[in-house]
Amino acid sequence: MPVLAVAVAAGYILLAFGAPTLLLALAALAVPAACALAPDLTIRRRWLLAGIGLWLAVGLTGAWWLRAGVTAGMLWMLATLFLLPLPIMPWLYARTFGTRR
Amino acid sequence: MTLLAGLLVAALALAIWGARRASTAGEYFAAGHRAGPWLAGLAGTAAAVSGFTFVGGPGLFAVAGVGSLWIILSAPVTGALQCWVLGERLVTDDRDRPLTIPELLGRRLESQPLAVVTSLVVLVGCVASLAVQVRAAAVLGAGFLGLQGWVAATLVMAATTTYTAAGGMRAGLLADATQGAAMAAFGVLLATAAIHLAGGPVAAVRTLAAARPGLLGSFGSFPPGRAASLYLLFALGTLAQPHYIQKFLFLRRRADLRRLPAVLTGALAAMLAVWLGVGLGGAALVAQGRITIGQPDELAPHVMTALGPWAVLLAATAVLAAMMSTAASFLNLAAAALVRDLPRAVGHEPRGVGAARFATVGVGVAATLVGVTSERAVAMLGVAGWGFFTAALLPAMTLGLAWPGARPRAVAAAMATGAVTDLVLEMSRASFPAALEPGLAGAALGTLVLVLGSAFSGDRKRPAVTSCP
Repeated sequence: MPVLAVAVAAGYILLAFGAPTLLLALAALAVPAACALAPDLTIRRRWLLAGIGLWLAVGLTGAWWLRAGVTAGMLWMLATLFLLPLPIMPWLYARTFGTRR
Repeated sequence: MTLLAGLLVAALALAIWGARRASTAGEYFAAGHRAGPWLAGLAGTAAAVSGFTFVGGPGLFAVAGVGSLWIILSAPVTGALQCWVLGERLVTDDRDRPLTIPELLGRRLESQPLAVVTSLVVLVGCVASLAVQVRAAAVLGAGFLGLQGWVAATLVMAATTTYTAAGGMRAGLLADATQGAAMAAFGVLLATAAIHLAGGPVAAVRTLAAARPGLLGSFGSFPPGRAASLYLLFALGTLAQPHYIQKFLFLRRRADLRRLPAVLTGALAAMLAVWLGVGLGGAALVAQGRITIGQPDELAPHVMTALGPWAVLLAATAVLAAMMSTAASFLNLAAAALVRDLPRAVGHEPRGVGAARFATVGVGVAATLVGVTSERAVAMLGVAGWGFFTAALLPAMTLGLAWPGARPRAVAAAMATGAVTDLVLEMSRASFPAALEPGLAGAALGTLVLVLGSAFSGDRKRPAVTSCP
């Protein structure tokens, strides 16, 4: 946990100064890493976090790839990173919610 | 004026209702832990969505285009993220739960210096964030209601302070949830109308593609690094906003968390429709020459005027609701820091509800004075307020709560480091790369301080990490 946190924190500062575009890759790592701080990290949830990381990696890479596409870039960004996960994320949370503790 | 008069009457009625019910600290600061997922979700989203979203957001779209949407792009993730990282750690079925964030961290890490630093961070950040809402009310008064900015801001803050001071979060929760429902409905309606006025979504995009293609693409006028930084700031930053965290303390029981992300995400998406709809539609209307704006914050008021009186009324109501719900939470948090957390941190008994009511009024007056004299744009003030809490509280609310190796003094040092870094970088922002967000940089440095400080600290006293505080 602390090693990953230090890597993300140091990575943010270094990339912001040296290679800001790679912050897109850091975002795909940092969001699932933050989710992994959940107290109930079951096997299902670990798979789910891997899926979130993969989805972000695909979405952010596509946004960068289509950055010059005036309408294609905007539509990709809105569809992949906003509209698609909008109903899915709350549903996945409810499906993996545990009542123990 | 009729709208503001109605607002004052409603605030007075709510104040009388709340004053009779909020007689204990639990009722006043945590709504008696009696909220279900709908109430907490709507109230939490209303508190989260401020005047920044309704006034600054569409204005920012006119300048940065799609780049501005990276601020709201994490909305589908944040509800689940908060419940995973914070909700499941904070919400128990136990009635003896913490009422405030400093109390939460204090119980968890058993540290007096940490409680003092947390209370100060919450107090300073809340007053600054309240000033943002005051500024938004001033822009609203000038843009939508034809009033002088300071008059509108003072009336709105007076109404909010009245019911918050009298009824605390018992009244605030009910008001916030009602305001949240109105904001969601009006947000979708106004966004749809603005896009329709610009000729529909296809025509609006085509207009901008021809006239201002730099606003479109994946990142608008922002470099990809800056867009990614904003995404991270507003995704991870949700874990550090006291007015978000506060709503978890209102929940009745742990099982309520199951449906909370659905309510949070749905309500947030509906409210954020304004950003995209009015931003895209308004920018297209400007490109078509149908409206003219002098500065970005004028976009939303001008679009509403073009839509007609009904839209001006709905928009004014929605912005007032957004501003008041956010302000109510900050007023209550600041009052709690003054009369409950700080006295306890320095070894005194916490003051009662009566003192909290006086503190709420004092904070309201101070924030109004700061807000009406501020000349910074609403959007930039909004980012600065969010960034301050992210810088100061993110390491503490994530690693500080989750990592068994975290040491209290290191968490306090991380909080102070993050807050100071954010303030220093905000003041010298132009000297640094655009991708370096002061709030995230502060949180990153704070994280390093927390981990290294804990690793090399001689402070080995640490309660077992077995359950929620």
